[in-house]
Amino acid sequence: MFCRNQTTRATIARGSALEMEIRRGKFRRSVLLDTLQDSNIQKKIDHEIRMRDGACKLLAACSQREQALEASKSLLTCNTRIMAYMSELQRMKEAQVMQRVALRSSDAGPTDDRLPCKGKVAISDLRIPLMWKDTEYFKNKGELHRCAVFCLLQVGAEIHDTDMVIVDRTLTDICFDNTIVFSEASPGFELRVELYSCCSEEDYSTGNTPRKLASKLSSSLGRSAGKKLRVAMDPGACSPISNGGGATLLLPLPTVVGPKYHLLAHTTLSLSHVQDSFRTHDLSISGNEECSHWVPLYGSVCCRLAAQPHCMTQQMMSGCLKVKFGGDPQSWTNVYGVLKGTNLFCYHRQEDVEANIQPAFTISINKKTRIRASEKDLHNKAQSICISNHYGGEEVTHTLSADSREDTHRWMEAFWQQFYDMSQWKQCCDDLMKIELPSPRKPTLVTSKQGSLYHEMVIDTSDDISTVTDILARRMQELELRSQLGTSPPWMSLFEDSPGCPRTHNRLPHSPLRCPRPGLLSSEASLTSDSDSPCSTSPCSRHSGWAEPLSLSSHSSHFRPRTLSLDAKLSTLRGRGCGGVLQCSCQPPSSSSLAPIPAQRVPQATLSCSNSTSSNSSSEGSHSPELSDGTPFSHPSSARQSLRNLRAKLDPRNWLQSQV
Amino acid sequence: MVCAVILLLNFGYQTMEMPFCILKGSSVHDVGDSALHFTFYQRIEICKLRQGEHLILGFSIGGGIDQDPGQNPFSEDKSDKGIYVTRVTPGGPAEVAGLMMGDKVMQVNGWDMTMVTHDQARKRLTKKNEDIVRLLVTRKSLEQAVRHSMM
Repeated sequence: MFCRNQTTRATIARGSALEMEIRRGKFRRSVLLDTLQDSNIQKKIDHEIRMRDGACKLLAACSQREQALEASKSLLTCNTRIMAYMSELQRMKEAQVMQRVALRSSDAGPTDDRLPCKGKVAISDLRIPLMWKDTEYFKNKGELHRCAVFCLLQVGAEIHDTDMVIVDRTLTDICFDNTIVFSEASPGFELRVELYSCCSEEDYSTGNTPRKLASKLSSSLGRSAGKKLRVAMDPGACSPISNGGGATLLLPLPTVVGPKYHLLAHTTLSLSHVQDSFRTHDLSISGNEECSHWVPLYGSVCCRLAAQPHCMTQQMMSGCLKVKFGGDPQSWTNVYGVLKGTNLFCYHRQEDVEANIQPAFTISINKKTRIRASEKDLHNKAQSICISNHYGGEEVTHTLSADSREDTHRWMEAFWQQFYDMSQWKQCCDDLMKIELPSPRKPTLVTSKQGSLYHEMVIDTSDDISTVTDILARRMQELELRSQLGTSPPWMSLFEDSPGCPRTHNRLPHSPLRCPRPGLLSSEASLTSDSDSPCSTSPCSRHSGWAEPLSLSSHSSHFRPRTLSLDAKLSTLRGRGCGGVLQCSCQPPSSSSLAPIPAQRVPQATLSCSNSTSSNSSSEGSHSPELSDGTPFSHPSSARQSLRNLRAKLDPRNWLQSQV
Repeated sequence: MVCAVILLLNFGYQTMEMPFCILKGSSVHDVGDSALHFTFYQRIEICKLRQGEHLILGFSIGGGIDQDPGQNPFSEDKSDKGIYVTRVTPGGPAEVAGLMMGDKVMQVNGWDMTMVTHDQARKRLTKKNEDIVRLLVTRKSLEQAVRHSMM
């Protein structure tokens, strides 16, 4: 039977001149056939060696750190590829030897092992979460320790690298945007993902590259070859690459000066990890905190690993068929059948396939389909094939008939192969997974700064200063109110959801956060000297809190760094005694928009309240607010009285008076 | 040369101390066109009254370095940013102690009140751990009375 995936073997006639030559050992038979593959690998190795030389030269010549890191990355990739190709070469040579031995011993024909079809495997959207220590992050101390990282992805002898990413404390994840496609992967593929990192700060010391490379090379080749290699290999030795006759490859080994990458983590993915969506996989981390190249990894990697076996994307079989539906003996239809993926498309004519016209009908070929060849047919001498499926609850049978026996055999073989492929590729054959081919683009040396979530929490630039000062005014009068009353009125509970907010500010140590400003220094000094009233310190700490956008408390993360005009505005505010537009917190809590104090509600609230406030205070003018109750010793514990006081207090036109 | 002059003026209050004044100047003889400054002070001791959870004094203050001094109705010098008594609750501890509307508070329990913010002043008067506050005040009427008597 024909076996599609096996390479055809040329048979050499006995007693021919060619056979005589072969027996004499002039040249090996394998040279005729396998030189192609050999030379392919050779070419690749030559190419990689040239690339490696170029990378070494670039590394020695470049002065900028980024360039050096990129060159070092290329160097590592080239080295890995060379080693992979050489081990592949060795494997092939060993396989040839085995085959020759097998052929000499027996005259067996081509083996009947069925091989599954190959497929495309794509890995994309690699994301590795990081786990910085919170103390290191929030204190923002000193220099930003930066590392350069990249990933190496390997399936068999095919190695791809991702772009390099600079990682520092501000990143929460390492994201690689590349989509990497491996074209010829078998279902038993092993995709090795390796994460390399290099500290991008220190001086670059000469590494142990030559020796390591030498030992790796010598161990990957055979024993005798390795011995030869080790003997020939000493630092600085340079030997030409030789070929043929089983001679080993000797490589020039330049000493490398520059940044060196170290393996930080690795994992191996296989068919079981393939899915049409994102999945998280565990990483094995090598290295610890002491290493210079350490990056605190969370321990997992997220990616999308998709596979497209060729049986799903290519036409596996096509030819003319006669199809009969069900058991009706008369209704034979001539169709042109195309077996692709999980369907047998039946077109009216062969030309329809190229013309992209819809097929006449489609027979599904999937895991649940049953196909059998019927031996006897009353009407036809040739064998026919019965395909039965379950559509809904019904069993539907199609009968196919080919023109000749050979065709029927071929169709059966195709179906068998298809079933075998589907059993090997498993979940990849349920549905066709999408793989986006990466568009060819020039790799840029400059890596764009990757943002992080924390940088996104800034106030909208469309907010003007008045809203920010309104927030300040609101805070201050809210705290004034609290200090005056002692017991908070019932409507203050609306603000209780963030009770920690002013208090946390109070507890902030003043020394690190003090921002000296000439206009406000005196007021700050006077405020902080008062020890029994904690609320008074909050405006001071509020000022300081704004100076650092990434402040300690998450509540103040809404505020952006202050500008010069904001400073001026604030000093006038303090001079006027917390004057400013009153917020709706002073109104009776009937409106639902009061509840928690969000920074973004301020703009809407401001507008509605300002009008009422100005009208109120204009009626009061500069008169002292009278106690409406009339009782001589009434303490302003009533909400309304304090409200009025508050309004009077905050109006800049008033000259503040306080009852003691 | 500083000399203390005790005036024998009676204002009808139940204070123990009489108002006093401190005379600063180059010489006593240079009256009229020399730098003679009369500053009349009164010491007032107010016992706070407990009302529920609060201790009250029974008067209101206005002014402060963060306030607009031009709106002070009691100050003679409209750039004076000191703390003034704007209202005295009738029958309250302050009235009993002799505080009057228009008094300028110079000191509270030894703490200076001439260069404080409004809020600071309020807090110095309303400290919870103090039951008695001793104010050092000055008033225009005192000055006027003395001047009239001297002229």
